[in-house]
Amino acid sequence: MQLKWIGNGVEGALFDAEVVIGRSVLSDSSLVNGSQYDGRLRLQTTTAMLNLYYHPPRIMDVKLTLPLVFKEGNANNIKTGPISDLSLDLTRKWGTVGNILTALTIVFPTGNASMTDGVAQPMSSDNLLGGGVFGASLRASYTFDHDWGIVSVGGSYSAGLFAMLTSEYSFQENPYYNMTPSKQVFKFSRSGFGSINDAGIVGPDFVGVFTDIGIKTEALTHGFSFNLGIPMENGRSELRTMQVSDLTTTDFPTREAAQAYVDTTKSELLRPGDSAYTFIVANTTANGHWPLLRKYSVQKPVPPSLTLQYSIEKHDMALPILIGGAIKLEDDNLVLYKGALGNPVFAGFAMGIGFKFPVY
Amino acid sequence: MRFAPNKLALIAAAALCALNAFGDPVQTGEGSTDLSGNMQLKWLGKSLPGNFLSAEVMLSLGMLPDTSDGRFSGKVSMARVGLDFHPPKVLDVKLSMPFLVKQGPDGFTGPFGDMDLDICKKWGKNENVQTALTIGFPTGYSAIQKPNPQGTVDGVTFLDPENQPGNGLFDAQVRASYMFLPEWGFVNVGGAYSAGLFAVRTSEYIYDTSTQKASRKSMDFQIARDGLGATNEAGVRTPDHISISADLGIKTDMLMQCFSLGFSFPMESIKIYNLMGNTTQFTRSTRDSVTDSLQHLYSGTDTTFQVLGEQPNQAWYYLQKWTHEIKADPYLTIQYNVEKNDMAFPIFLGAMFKFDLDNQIKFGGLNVGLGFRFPVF
Repeated sequence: MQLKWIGNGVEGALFDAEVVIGRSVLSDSSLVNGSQYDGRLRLQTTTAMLNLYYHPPRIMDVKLTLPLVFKEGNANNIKTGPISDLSLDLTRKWGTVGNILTALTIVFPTGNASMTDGVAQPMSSDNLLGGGVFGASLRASYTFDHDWGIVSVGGSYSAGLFAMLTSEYSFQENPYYNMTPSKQVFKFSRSGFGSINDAGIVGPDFVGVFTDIGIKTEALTHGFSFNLGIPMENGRSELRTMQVSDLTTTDFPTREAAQAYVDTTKSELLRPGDSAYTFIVANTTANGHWPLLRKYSVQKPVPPSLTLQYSIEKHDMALPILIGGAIKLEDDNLVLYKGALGNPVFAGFAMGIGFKFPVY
Repeated sequence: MRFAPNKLALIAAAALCALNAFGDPVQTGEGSTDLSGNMQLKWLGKSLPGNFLSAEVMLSLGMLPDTSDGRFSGKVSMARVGLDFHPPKVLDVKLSMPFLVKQGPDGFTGPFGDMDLDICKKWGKNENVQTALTIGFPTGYSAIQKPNPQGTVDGVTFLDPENQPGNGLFDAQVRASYMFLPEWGFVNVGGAYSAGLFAVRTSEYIYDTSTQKASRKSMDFQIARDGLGATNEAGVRTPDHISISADLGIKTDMLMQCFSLGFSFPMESIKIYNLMGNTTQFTRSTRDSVTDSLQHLYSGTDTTFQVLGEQPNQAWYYLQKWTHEIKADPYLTIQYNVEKNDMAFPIFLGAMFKFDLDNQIKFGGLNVGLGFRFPVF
C-alpha cells in the first residue's frame, strides 16, 4: 500500500521532488482460519518513496520513482530490503483545461524477487522486495473542477510482461546438495491473465477503478481516495519447496535429453497428490547422475481489495506537507470478483508523511 | 519476557484549554499513558483558536525495555488521530482513536487501540479550573489468542497483555486541574483517578465437537470490577491508578517549550486468570470423576478444572484454570516538547521518558513523536 498525494503540490517548477515516508502492515488471520480478523499482523513494511518529477511545459509529466523498502515479519521474522521495483510514469493531459489524463507506467524489476529464507526454500511473496517482472500499467482519468476542489475518476490495467527467467541450473554437492541459476534469459513471461517471475510466482493482472476527491480550504487540502483492485485471476501460484534429488538414469548424452526424458515420464516421478510438481534437470552431473530439481507450487488466493485513504496537505509554495492514512479491505470469499462487495475483511493499513519541494 | 506491570495508569485526557495573559488558548492535552499500556505524548502548547472542529495527528514510536542492559522487549508505532469539538462556552469534547502496531516476542498486533471520549468543562473567570471525564471504549483487540504450551490453539490462551492492542475494558477517568497563567507561559497542576468498569466477557464455555476444543457459548456485558481493578475477557485484571501531574509551558516568539512531570500509583497488583484447554486420557465414565482425578493431581495448588466434553477414545476435554499476580510498580514520566507557533498548522516535536519506581528507579521506556494540528471546520 502506498499513499497517494492529493493536493496542490509544488506549482511552476520544471523539476520537483517528493519524499513519502510511510509504514504499512498486513493482517494475519492464520490462527482463526482466515475467516475473520483477530488483531494479529504478519508483516510490516517501512518505505521511503523518492519521486522525481519533470514537467516540460505542454508536453507531458514524467515521474521516476525510487522506492526504498524495509520489510519485517512472517515466519522466522525475516527482514528484507532495501530497494524495491523502480518505475517510470509518463502522464499526458488533454482537453482545454487538462481534465483528461492518460498515463503509462513502466515497472523495472530492481527489487530482489527470488530470495530464499535461509534453508534454500523460496520466501513468501509478501517478504520479497519486488515483483520480478518488467510490467506496465495504463491509466486514464477525468477530473471535475469545482470551486471547493476536485473530483477525479479513473481506471487502470496493470500487467507483468517480461522477466529474466532461469533456463539452466548448476548443481553443487558441497556444503549441501543445492542448485543455483547458472543461465538466465529475458523472456516474455505471460501466463494466462498474469505473469510468472523467476521465483515461480504467477501474479495476476489487475484492473483498478479509483475516485479521488480533494476539498480545498484556505490552508489545507483534505484528500479522499477510493481504490478498487480486481485481480484478473483469483489465485497466485507460489513456489513452496525446492528439493534436489538424483535422476539415476545415466545414459543421456545431454541435459536437454535428460530433461526431455523427465518431461515425458513425469507421471512416473509423481507421488499421489503431487500434481503441482515440476522437475528441472541441472546442466552438470555429479557421481555420474543427473541432478534433478523438484519444484512444488501452491495456489494462494488473491482477493479483490478496496483501499480507502484520507490525507491532508498543508499548502506551501516551497515545502508542502502531506500526512495520511489508508485502510485496505479484502473479500476473502472472492464475492467482489463476481461483482459485489460481500464480506470485506481487514487486510492492512498504512500511514505516512510526505514532503514536496522544487529542485529547479 | 518481562511483563510490564506499571504501564497501566491513566492520566489520559484531552484538551485542557485556558486563555493566557495574551488571550491565546493554551492546551495541556493528552495523557502520558493509557490503560492499554501505551505511552502517549501530551500535546502541550497553544491550541487552534476559533475553530469549532479541529483535528490532531500524533505519530509516535515507543520502546519498552526488556532488561536494564539496554535491550528492548517491544516497540509500539502509533498514529493517534483526535477530533476536537469546541462548542463555545459549553464543553470541550475530544474523540481520539489510536492506530498502532505493537511488535513483541509473539509478533505484530494492531491495528486499533482503544477509543477515548473526553469531556472537559472549564470554570472560573479565566477558565483556570478544569474538570473532565474521559470514557474509554474497548475498540482495540484485547483477547488475541496464541498457541498454548502444548502448541495447539485452544481458544482460551491469550497473548500477554502488553502485546494486546487494547485493554478490553470500558474505563473511565475523572480529572481536575488548575492552571496558572503568567505572562511567560503557563503552569498546570492536577490529579486524576482512572478505573476499568465494564467488559464484554465469556459467561460460559462449551465443548465444540467439530473443532474438539473449547468454544464460547455466550458473551455478556458485565461489571468487570475486581478489587481495585477490573478484569477483561483475556483474564487480566488491570488495577486502578491515581495520578498527579505538573505541566510547564514557556512561550517564545516562534515556539512554545514545554515540560511535564507525572507520577502514577497503582491501587492493586496485576492479576492474571490463566485458562488452558487440554485433553486427558483418564478413562473415567463421568465428567465428575475426571474432574476429581485432575484435581487430585494438582492437590495443594489453586488450580481448578472444568471438564467440558468427551472426545473419541474415552478422552476428555477440560479447561485448566489458575491465577498469578504481578506487582504493579508506581512510575514517573518526564516529557519535553516544542510546538512551532502556527495559526493554521502547528507542529509538535516531543520525547517522553518513563521510570519505574520499584525500590529503585528503573528505566521504563521512551516515546518520541511528531504531531500536527489543523482546523477542520
